Amino acid sequence: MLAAARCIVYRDLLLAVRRRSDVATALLFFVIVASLFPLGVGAEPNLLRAIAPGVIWVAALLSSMLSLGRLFASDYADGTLEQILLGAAPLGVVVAAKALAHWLVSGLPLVLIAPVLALQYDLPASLYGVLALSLALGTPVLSLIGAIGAALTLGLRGGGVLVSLLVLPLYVPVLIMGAGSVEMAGAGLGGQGQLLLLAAMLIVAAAFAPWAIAAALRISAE
Amino acid sequence: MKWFWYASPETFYPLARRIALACGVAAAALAVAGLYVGLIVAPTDAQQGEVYRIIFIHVPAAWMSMFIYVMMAFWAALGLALNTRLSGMMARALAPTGALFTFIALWTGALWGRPTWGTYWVWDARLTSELILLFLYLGFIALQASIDDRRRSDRAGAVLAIVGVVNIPIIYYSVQWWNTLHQGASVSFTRAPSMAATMFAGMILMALAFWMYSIAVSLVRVRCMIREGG
Amino acid sequence: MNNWFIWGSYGVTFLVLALEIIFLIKRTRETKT
Repeated sequence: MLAAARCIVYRDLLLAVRRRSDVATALLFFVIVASLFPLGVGAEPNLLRAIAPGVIWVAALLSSMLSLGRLFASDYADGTLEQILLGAAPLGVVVAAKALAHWLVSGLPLVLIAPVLALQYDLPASLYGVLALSLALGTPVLSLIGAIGAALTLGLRGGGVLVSLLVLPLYVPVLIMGAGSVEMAGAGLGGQGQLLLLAAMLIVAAAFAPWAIAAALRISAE
Repeated sequence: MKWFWYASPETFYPLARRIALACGVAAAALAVAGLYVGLIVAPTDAQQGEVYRIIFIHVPAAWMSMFIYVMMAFWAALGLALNTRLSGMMARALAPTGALFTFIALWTGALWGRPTWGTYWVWDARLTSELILLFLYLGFIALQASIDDRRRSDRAGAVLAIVGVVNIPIIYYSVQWWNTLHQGASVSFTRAPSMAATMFAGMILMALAFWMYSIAVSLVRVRCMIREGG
Repeated sequence: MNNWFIWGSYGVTFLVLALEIIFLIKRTRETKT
């Protein structure tokens, strides 16, 4: 079982490395979106500092969502997905491994780049840790929930927009707790409660999402 | 087992007509009673005047919007588990009505907020949760609409509905917390006028009316689907 | 003045539900042929 998981993760990472531009585009999107807000709302430092957690988190949400198309589409197109569905490895394990690989490629870079964006917004350096941690806990949840949407919409004409409509409402709790943790920490009240809730969401998502993703894949691909 | 006899669309078809008629009549009667209580019997509120009467639409509509989503998810899940076409049709038929009630709850909420608290949209926890519920409904409808194969459409919708229904408490709780973080208790729909018995009766009557209406409309829709080929 | 809000609420509600019924009747007629 672990062998299958390791195999899938290694394969997806290898594919991602070969198509580096996909990964880079998602990351670039994250940076660009975050850079757009000051242009829209004005560069007043107090305002930017106030909206920073929310903006960075929304940018992470959108970037994560944008990269969902890559999750199953290429495997579906070249027949690998069919092989996986017919194969011996438990589908739940396979999709969990795919979600993990997806996160390593689309989520983890966001966690690492976020402090740079926080710098742009003049967020106090003491909050960088909370920001990064909230993203580290939250982006895997986004990958897992997003994978459900990606699996459900496999091969449909609605494309990326349809996935967004399905997945964004489900992202809301992660967004609220993620941005909230940074805001609470910024107000001096400590973001531990929200971080713990994020961790809880991650555990619940890791436990249940693979079932939904697997079910959705079977429904879409058969 | 009587249930499985009616699980066939053909046998359910005439039964649906009878139930729909009965519920339609009940809906009309309950609506008349509810409007009578709400608009004529219930007294003018000390703080809000007449405007509070919007509550007789707003609260029942909100209740319905949530109840219908749960029912939709229930039928969809049943269809997924037992592989019955009729259950899938039921879920598909409930969605538009549920979305409509969500819209009504949002619209009346906005129109209640304006004269009472000054703005049409107040990012109140319950209104915000209703907005997200509307998105969940629209996502379900959009997903089903974009899949041509009826069986895949039913089953995909079912997975989405189940994921949605599990998330609703989480979303509700998060939005509640978010609301306390960003707003004082100055604006809150939870501080409705203190519930006189007549007000409560009016809301219950309207809620029952909406419920009967939903059943009638959904069953007629299911009958159309059966005629269209399932 | 506040009555506009009450009319707007009840009115739109009934309008929207009536529209739902009208569209449903339309669909019933179309599928019956």
